[in-house]
Amino acid sequence: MRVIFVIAKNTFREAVRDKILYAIVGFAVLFILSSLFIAQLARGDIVPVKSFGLAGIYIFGLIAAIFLGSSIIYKEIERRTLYFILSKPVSRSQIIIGKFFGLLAAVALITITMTIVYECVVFYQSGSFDYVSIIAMIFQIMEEAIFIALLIFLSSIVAPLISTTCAIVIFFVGHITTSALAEAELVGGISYKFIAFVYYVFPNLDKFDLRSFAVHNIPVPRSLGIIAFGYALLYSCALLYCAHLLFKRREL
Amino acid sequence: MVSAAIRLILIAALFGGITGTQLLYDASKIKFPETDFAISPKFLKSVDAGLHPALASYLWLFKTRTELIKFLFLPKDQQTERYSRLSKDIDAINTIDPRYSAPYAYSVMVLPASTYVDRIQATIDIGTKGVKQADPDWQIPFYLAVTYHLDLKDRANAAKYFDIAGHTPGIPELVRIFAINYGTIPSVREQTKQIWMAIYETTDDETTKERAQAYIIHLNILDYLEAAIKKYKERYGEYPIDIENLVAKKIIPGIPKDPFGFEFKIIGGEVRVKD
Repeated sequence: MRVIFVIAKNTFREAVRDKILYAIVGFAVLFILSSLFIAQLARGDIVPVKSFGLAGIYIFGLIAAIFLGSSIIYKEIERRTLYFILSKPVSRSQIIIGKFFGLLAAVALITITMTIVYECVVFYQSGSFDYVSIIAMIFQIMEEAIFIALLIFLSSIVAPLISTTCAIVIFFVGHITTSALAEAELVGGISYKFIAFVYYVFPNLDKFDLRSFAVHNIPVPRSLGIIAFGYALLYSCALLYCAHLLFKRREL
Repeated sequence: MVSAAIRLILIAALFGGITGTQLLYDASKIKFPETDFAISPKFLKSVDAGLHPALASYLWLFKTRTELIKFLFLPKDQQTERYSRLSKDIDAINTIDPRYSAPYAYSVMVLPASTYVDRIQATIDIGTKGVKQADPDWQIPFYLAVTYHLDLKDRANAAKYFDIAGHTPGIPELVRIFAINYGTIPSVREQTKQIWMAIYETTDDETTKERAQAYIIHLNILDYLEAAIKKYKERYGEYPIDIENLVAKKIIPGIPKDPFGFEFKIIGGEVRVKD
């Protein structure tokens, strides 16, 4: 446990020291602040301010996860720092888990920072905080956990560019499958079976999208929290376990 | 030192060139063809990675709202063609985010024109959809009621939507009083009462039933007070200054309690809700 904590701490430190991260956060803050300009255009309507702000947090959170996660294992192999770590009493699974938590902490920190800026913008515009968006951000962090686990999984088998491309494709698939399944249901046959397979096997990310709830100030059903948490936990574990198996077979 | 200065000049020249090219482009005023939503809103919704409100806000603020404003200043012959495109765009936005109230509210305000029957129908369709699925916004039922009243002379639906508007949070007080007072002037009061009685008798919804009952009581109070004012005039030859005079002169035992909590005033022998 202590080993995992040390690896996580070092991964977190390395991530927050990355200069590209500051550029991403800087752009994100600028994007969220630009909602103030949107507010002028929308003539007092808070819906566009919230929707653009939350979209910014989501997009930049994902960009940060991709930049930090796509080469996380591959980089260690390329730099040969992994050999040094493995010469210590550290198992490969501890490396995977430690990397996951360290990266998740860094991405969660970015998400929280952006949420604070967003809340300030909403408060400045409407005179009250957007509490539902805090729940939406917790869900976003759960989604980011799956995404980071996916990036670690991909990073342990392929080069960063391929890993980034695959992650982006899987991310889109994760958002399309619900509507694709509904359409395929009308067609039926083999197409439906294929889409149903993709729907259940690939990460289904729709359940983490609480931005519409936050924008329109709708209470979030409690059961959704439990289901989403369970799904994120199981999916992340499955991906990390697969990453561990592949990583274990790899000759270093 | 010299090379640093040259580099600086080179960078400045490059940026100067970029700005110049942009200025040249702006001056050329090349117009790009305007396009409709070429992609179906359902498809857009499925590929926006869950960012439905942001996409709907973007399409509304940076495309359709401007078009809607331009539309008002178009010559009449061009309005019909543009209108059909606009109503499709608005529908697309509200397919992407059905709860976004601004497009519905704006449409029911801007589209109605008694000279265009299809636009009235479009207003009714957009407004009714907005009342059902958008975030509560008093402007949608209010302007829908105005369309029913002015363009369709449909008092029953006008009363229904004025009532919804009057009970929507955030409605300005003056507008609320107007909405609640709809149909209370003596010449149409009886008809309004009949409408609410019909709603009371036919609805299965408990809230609507309670609301209809409150309106009937409210209108009965107005009748009761106006009858007392008439009696006062017959007795004293002039109208009372305020409602309290009716109690003071023992014309009525007390002022009835209004179900909406309104107080009343007298204007030229008629009873009105106090501002």
